[in-house]
Amino acid sequence: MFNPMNLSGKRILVTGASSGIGLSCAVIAAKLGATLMLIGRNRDRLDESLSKLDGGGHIAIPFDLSNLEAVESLFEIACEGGKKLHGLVHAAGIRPALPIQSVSVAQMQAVMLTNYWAFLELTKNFSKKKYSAGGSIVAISSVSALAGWPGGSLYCGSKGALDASMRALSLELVPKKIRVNSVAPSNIRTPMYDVGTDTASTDNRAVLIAKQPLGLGEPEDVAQAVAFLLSDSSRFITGTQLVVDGGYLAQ
Amino acid sequence: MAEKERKEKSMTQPEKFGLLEEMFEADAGSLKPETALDTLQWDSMAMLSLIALVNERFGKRLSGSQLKAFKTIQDLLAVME
Repeated sequence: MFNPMNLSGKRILVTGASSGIGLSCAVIAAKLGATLMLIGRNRDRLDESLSKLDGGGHIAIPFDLSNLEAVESLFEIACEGGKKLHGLVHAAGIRPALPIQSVSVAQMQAVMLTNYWAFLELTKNFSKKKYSAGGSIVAISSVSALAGWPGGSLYCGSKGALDASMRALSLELVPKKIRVNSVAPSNIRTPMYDVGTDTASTDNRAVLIAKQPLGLGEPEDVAQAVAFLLSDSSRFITGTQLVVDGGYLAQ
Repeated sequence: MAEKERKEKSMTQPEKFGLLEEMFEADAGSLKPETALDTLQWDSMAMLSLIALVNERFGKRLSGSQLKAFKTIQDLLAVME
């Protein structure tokens, strides 16, 4: 049967694979036939993620992306024996909600490091000839790159930077046959959302959902869009941001 | 980290007032333990600031229900340890 989102034979590296959107991307990609390299900080949580994947040959590589200088070691492990990668999904991210007066330099650096710098370093390595021969890179951005919210200066900025670089890289990597896109979710039912709403904005949970005509999104809603961008069905799509927001930005 | 926590736990009352005055952008000495939060700019942004302050300085995570229960400066001082 024709499956336009077929990913069989593709080896895909996913960061933030322990939970939320990253985990869901891995689960969906495995269902579509891909072999996954899961990246996350904690070995036990990654092993739990591995147990949720269909098919075999997947591996978990515990790694803290704040160790930017060592990102290449991930690719050495993922491409052992000369195997190449076909896809990269950067789903690792942190989402602080902080008024500007409470923002510290350490927090500025931490947010940019995980949400943005890590993406650059991952893309740099993915696009080396020894690790890929073409492929698709998908960054998990956010509607926060396009619409602000009070307390979101760090997060919104990091996602805006991510999208700007995504567009530049999509052009730069054309000769290498690597497509680069991002997916921009709104509020999705993930651990990040739970933490984010168990605060001052608890009352805002209903308000937030009300802003999304289709309600609160599920991680699979985002993962399926990511799978499309990883698949050959999207071969003519590069340098774009695919919004998956339940109508949030349509208003 | 453990050392840092011990140090922060020994924070004096005037130091705690200093942090709250900075957070509320209130004049030095203007806050009293009995000062009601609803006489200050105690909104969602202030709550986020308090969450960050208590988390960073005292290693504690405040919940939404705790935040909603706070009525006076004394309630904030009580979680700053």
